[in-house]
Amino acid sequence: MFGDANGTMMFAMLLPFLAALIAPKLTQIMGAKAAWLLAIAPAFIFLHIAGFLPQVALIGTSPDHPPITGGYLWVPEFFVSFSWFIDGLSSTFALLISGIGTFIILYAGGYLGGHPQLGRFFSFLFLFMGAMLGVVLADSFFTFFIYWELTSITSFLLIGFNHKSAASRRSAIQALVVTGGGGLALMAGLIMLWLTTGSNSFSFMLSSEDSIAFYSKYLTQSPFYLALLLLVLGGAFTKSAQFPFHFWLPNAMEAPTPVSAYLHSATMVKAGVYLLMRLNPLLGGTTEWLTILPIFGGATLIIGTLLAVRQTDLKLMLAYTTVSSLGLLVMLIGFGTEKAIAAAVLYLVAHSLFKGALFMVAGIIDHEAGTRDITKLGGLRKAMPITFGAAVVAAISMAGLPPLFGFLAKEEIYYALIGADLWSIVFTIVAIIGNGLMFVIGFAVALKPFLDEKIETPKHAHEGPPLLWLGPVVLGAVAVFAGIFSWLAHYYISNPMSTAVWGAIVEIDLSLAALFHPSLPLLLSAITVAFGVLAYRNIDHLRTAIDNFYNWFFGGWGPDKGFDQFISGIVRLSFAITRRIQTGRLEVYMTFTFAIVALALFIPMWVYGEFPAMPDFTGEVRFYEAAIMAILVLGLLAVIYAQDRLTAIVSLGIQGFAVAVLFMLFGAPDLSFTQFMVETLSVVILALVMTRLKLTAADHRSWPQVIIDGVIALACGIGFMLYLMRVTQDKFDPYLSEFFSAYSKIIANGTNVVNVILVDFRGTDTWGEIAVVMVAGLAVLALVRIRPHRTIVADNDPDAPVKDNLVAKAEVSK
Amino acid sequence: MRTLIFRTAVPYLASLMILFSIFVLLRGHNEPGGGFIGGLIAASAFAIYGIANGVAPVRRAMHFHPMSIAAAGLLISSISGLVSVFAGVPFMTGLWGSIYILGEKIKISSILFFDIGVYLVVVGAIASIALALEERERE
Repeated sequence: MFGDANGTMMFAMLLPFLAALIAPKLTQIMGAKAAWLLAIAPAFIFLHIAGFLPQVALIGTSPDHPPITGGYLWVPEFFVSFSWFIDGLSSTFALLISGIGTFIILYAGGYLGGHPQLGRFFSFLFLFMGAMLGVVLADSFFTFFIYWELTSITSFLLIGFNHKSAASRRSAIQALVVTGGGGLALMAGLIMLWLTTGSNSFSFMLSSEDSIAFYSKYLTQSPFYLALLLLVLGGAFTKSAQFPFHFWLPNAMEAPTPVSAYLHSATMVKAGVYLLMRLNPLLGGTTEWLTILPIFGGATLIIGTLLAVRQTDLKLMLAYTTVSSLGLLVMLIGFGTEKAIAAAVLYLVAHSLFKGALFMVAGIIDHEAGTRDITKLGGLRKAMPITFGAAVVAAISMAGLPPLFGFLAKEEIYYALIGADLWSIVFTIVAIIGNGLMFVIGFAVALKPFLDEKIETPKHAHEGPPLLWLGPVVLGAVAVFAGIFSWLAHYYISNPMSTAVWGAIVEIDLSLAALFHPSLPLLLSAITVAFGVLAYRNIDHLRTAIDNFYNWFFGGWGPDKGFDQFISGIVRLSFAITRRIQTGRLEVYMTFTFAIVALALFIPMWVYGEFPAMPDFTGEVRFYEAAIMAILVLGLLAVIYAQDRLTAIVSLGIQGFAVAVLFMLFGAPDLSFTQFMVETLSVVILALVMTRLKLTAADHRSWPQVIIDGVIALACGIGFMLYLMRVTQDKFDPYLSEFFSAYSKIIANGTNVVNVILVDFRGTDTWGEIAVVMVAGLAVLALVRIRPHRTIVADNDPDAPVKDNLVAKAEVSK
Repeated sequence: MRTLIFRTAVPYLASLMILFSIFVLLRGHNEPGGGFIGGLIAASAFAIYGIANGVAPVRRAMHFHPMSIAAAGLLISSISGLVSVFAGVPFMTGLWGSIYILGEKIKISSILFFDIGVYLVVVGAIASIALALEERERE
């Protein structure tokens, strides 16, 4: 699989990022028409992925047809690679992302035509598209995780696109915090998965039924299974807006409608579902999996639909049904039967098609009529016939009526849920209520604004340009096509995808023919429709009732408000801690730093009983060595008894020079040389600083303070002494010395080992260090220029030559 | 500080120190010395010159802003490290060659340029700090 195919795939995966790069410039030149040109990029990706379909359809049928993999080594030392793999699951997702993406780009051109930041918007959309493609195509966990986080970041950028609106900014941050927080959990989960199995590649674990069975058994029996599962679910549930993390998704509707249609219904929010589907063969089937997923999914389904009915804003209604659809998907995945997986697959595809279309319709209505409040809309069918048609088709699919793909999905759901036990009955009822209410919302969005008598809207409504209605029309047509020619859709899409999720071959044979065979699922569908029609007729009463109940139950509180409290709590906590730790007094910092240095020196020696042995003093001390020691002690006494700071600094210099001489005597000329220069410059610079700071000449510390500081200083000094003594008492390991002596001449052509180490063997270290010296110099310059209560252009500013010259003249004339 | 003797002697002293610093820099690879020490010596020379004769003459003598000198040094070091990459060996690998000046064979290497860069960074950064502090003392 390596070779040319690899290159094309890599190109396809990088293409959105390339498009993101050129989009702003292209938009600057061509305006909104750039959309036509830019849409070529996702269309190319769509065709490229579609080219794999014949191969994908055969995956798993025999050992000759393994998943398609490819990639490049990235950090081979850590087994990290940039790799992808294509099976039924990833190909379907990639087709949805690139296919819907093509129309979203066109739609965005129509929707935001003339917007000054349209280029940036395209750029963000393409960045997201690239990230999302990466998520579904990634094979290595690392590739997967990086793309996963990238979708959170691009979603943040897109939600906050209207960055001047406070609501947008809040929603953007909220989405980032929730999904990013889940991302952290997911990262831990993936690392655990890697450590438990020893593999960081999806394709490796999922390569064959034997391999799946092996890893699945291994993982589900691991003692870390529950922790691992919870961490992974943390990532999936936040991303896919499961209750109680659902609140960020409706808020994300602050984003322009193309974003809502693309990220927050058709693709990104399904990343969590994708993850669950991907891991279903490995982690699924356990009691935990079969309990947690249906309960959270079912709760999300019911809460989402109830909250949807409560809304009057078209986009918010759709957003809450997206929440409930995601709940339905999670519930089905958690049901863990072959039928349930097939149902989830069908519903996922159907949902992406109809929800994307409905969002675009809502956007068109908003764009053309100037409002998306459902109570202020009506009678638009004459003005916008094409939009109306697309809306009705999408709504029929959403309601699960024949002959659309949504019907097949709904039938399959009932096939999957039906059972005689209590668990099945409860979830069947949950599904009926959820589906019935989604039926209501679908038609409320698709019919209410168009039928009845005309209501005056803020803008005079008329049909939008093709850029706008092309997307919903095509998506609707695809849903019709997939419904009628269901065998084709099953062969290329549903079956391979279900096979990938189930981990073994799945054959779906459901078609519109089911309509003519009386069965229990058909009956349940009829009940759903009846319930839906009833609820639709009384939607206004229903809305008021739910609204009243909601206000009574929560009393204004909810997860959304809880999020604000959580964030402000964190800010307050960190503020309190910071004020306590960062007092802003240099003395406190110094005291703590040195106290901890002393502790770090003493504690290990004490804990491990590694205090040095009493050194041997019997050796002969030459008189000049003794003399230098005497100078050292004199210097020390001079520092302690100095009357003012300047004297103390100079006395410290005496000590430093004495140490330098010691180095010289013991055969380290380079060290000694450097020590001399550093001491000289330290004294000069410290003296300059002291005169500059205008401190009181003498030390002003109180006696208790002097004692505390003295103890810490002594502890540090003695600690270092003992530490060095202990280190030198061990047998000296001459490995490095011998290495450098032996090789410095041969490899580096130099006889001065110290210098050779500095500039050759450890040259990169030195390189980093001189960069630090440079930055430190700049920092000092900046600090020196800060003058309280005075604003003077610093006369050492090279950018002020006139002033410099004046100063120079003044100097000369002195 | 600004006694006549000091002010008269310092220019000669500083010149000698700078000459010596270059000597130390160049001998560094085989004898005690090197870019770091050389840079410190040169920085001391500028600092002393500044103390004796004021900052403005030092700045004129240096011609460039000390921070620019430091930046140039960092650039030279980085380039001499990067040259190895283009020569097909890992970053920072020393490259050696020799040139003939007046019939005398002189070994020359990317290492030498790296060390010169270190020298310039140290001179520039330290002199810049010292001069900035001295300058403010005058007021």
